Amino acid sequence: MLKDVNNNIRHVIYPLLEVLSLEVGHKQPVAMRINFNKPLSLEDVTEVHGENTGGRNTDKSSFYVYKVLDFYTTFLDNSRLHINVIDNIRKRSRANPRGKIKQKIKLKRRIIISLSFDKTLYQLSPDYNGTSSSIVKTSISDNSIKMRTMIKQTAGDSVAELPMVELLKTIKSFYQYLTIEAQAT
Amino acid sequence: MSQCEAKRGLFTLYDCTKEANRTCAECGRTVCNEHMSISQSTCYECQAKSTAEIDDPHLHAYRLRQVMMTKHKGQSIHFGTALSEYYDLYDISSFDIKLAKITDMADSPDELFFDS
Repeated sequence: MLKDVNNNIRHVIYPLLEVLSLEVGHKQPVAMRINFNKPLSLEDVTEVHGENTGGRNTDKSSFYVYKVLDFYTTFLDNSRLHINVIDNIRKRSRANPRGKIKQKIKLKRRIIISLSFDKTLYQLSPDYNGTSSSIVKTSISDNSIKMRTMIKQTAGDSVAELPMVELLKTIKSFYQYLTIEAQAT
Repeated sequence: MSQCEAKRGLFTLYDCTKEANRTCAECGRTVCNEHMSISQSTCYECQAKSTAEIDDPHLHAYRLRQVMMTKHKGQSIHFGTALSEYYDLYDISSFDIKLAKITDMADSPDELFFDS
C-alpha cells in the first residue's frame, strides 16, 4: 500500500537540499537522519504522569521526545553545518464524568543550528564582543570557530512545518560576526 | 571555451570553475549547463531576477539566493576574482581568494558523518 510522505520532507527537506546544493561542493556528501515514525509513538515516550488507575482521577500526561531530523554537511568554504530538530510533545488526556475522553497536544520544537568555521580563513569580527546576540553561542578551538543557536517553534500539533527561510536566514546571520584577514579587492 | 561567468554559493559566492558552453540571451554572459536550464534561453540568475512563473525546482534556490543577497541583513562574502557589475545589487564584499586555496573538495571529514 502506498503511503504519503511527511509534509516536512516534501515542503522543507527536499527544497532545503535544492537550496543548499548551491553552497555544498559537487562531491561533498550530505548526511541526514530523518525520523519516519509517526509522532506520538510508544517508543518516543519519555515520561508518563498520572497513569489512569480508575475512579475520578483520570488525568494523564505523556511526554514524548521525537527526533525529527539530524542533518550534516560541509560547505564550499569548509564550514561544517549541523542541524538538529527535536520535538518535545506533551499529550494530556482527561475523561469527564460521563466517560468521554478529551485530549490536548502541545508541541515545542527546538531547531539547533551549529556552524563551525575554518579558523585559517575566518576570524571573529572585532566588533563582536560575545554578547552581540545572546542567542548565538560562540566557542573557539585551535582550528575552528563554532557558532550555535536555537530556533524555538511552538505549534498546536506535531505536523508543523519546519521554518526553512528562517533557518537559512539564521545560517547567513552567523557570517556577519566574522571577518577575513585577506585584502578585500 | 571560457570559464562559466555565473557564481556558485548561497551564503557566500564563488567563481564557477566549469567550462561555459552556452550564452544567456538576457545578460549575454557565457555559462555552463549547471547555470542554465536546457529548455530555457536565459540563465538561472536572470530568471531569478524576473517575476515570470517558471516551473523549475532548481530556480527556487536561485530566487531564494537573490532575496538573501539583496534584502536580508548582513553582508555576504565573495571568494574569487572578477565580481562583475552583474552582481551590483548584491550586498557583498569581495576577497581575492581562490576556492582551491581554502578547501579540498575531496577531503571530507568522514569521521564526523553518521555511521549509516
